[in-house]
Amino acid sequence: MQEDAWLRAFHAGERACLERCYRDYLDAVIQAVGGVVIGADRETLVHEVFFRLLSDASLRESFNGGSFASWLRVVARNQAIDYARRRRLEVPFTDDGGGRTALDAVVDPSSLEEQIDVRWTLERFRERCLPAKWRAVFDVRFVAKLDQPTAARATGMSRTTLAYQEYRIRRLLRRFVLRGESK
Amino acid sequence: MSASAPTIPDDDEQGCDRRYRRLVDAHFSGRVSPAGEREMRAHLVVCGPCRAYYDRHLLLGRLVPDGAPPMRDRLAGGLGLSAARSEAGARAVGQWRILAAAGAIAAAFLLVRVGPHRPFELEPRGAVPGSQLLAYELTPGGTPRPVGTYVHTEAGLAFAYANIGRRRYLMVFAVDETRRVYWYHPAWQSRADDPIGLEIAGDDAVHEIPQAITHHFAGRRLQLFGVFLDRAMSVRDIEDLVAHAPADNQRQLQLRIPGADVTQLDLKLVAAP
Repeated sequence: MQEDAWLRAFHAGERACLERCYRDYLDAVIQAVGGVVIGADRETLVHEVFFRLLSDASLRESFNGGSFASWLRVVARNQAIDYARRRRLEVPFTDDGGGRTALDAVVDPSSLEEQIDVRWTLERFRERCLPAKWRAVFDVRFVAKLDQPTAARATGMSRTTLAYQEYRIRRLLRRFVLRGESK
Repeated sequence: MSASAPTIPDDDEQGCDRRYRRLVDAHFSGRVSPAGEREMRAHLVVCGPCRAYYDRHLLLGRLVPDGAPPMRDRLAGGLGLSAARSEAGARAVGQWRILAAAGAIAAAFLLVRVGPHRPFELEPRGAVPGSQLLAYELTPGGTPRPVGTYVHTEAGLAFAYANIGRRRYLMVFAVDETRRVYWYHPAWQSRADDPIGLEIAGDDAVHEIPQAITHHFAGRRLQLFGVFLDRAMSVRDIEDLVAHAPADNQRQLQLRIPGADVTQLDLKLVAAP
């Protein structure tokens, strides 16, 4: 009975039901598409999946019970294929027949690439852009990632001065990264 | 979304309307509408430079302490949904919004009263606006807060200025109800010295003064002054003026300095949280 009520609410596109779908199944959608695209493409693709779910009644009505997660994975995968075609990407899809692909079992190489990118960008910023007077705060807050009280003790400066310098560094870093100076 | 829309090559930074950059900025600061999000997403499919800009925002979020708002919250906002936010996510959004606000046009944070100081007179028509001082309080939480009607007794203050009047020097100080003067700029650390005002940039852009300074205030009220001058005055000159300045019926100092732009903010002192 409860399942029927949920299905009716889902087909009807009731807001609370769809919000819950988003909260509960976002990770499943990310996993379904994450091995295919990364970065801006990944987030756009995830947005597309949920936007369709919210706005396309015929899509919602095509689910008639069973594993919602499995159904949503298929929707996400199909969306990813369509997205790759629009973006003219070449993406490998190998289905092992269980609804998961071989890619799902592989550790996402993009996370390693992201870590390298972060480290490299911090080094370039420190070398090219950061004034020497702010290096102490940069090293404790941005590199070592100490919290503010610990960072203030480590540098021997007051927390207010540290916070203000951090604020200035953030602004400089934002400009450095968003203008593409980090490349 | 149509696959037939023309694509913008990755290296064609100029081939794109800056409006889409602003939509990306709005997305990352949690201010984008669902319609704006859809427009942005449709554009990202066909625009390499804007995708790269979006990716730079993602990188920036990984670089800064506390990170950017998590994807869960950003996408929810763009879809017009509410996501269950973690406390860290909510705090990160707040921090980003404050940073964005602090970078906004200076008018949002102005001290009251600009121009030659005439507390009970209207500004004459056609008067050129005078220079302006911006004040930020640095709270124990660490995020700068623009000073409004109060400051905490143990807070650090930092300042920025816009030298619209094209003055040469700036002096920043606070006065409590006993007429005790607390100096910010110039710093006055030894009674043997008599420092003069800070020489400042001669344009009307917003310039930040790097140091944040903490005083331990006594009393219940404080007046914060920014004095823009063409001639050098020393801290002792100012303290002499403060000691002899008239007060209104609310016991607020009426500080007049001929030829100077005096900006003033009357504040309550609040105990530190």
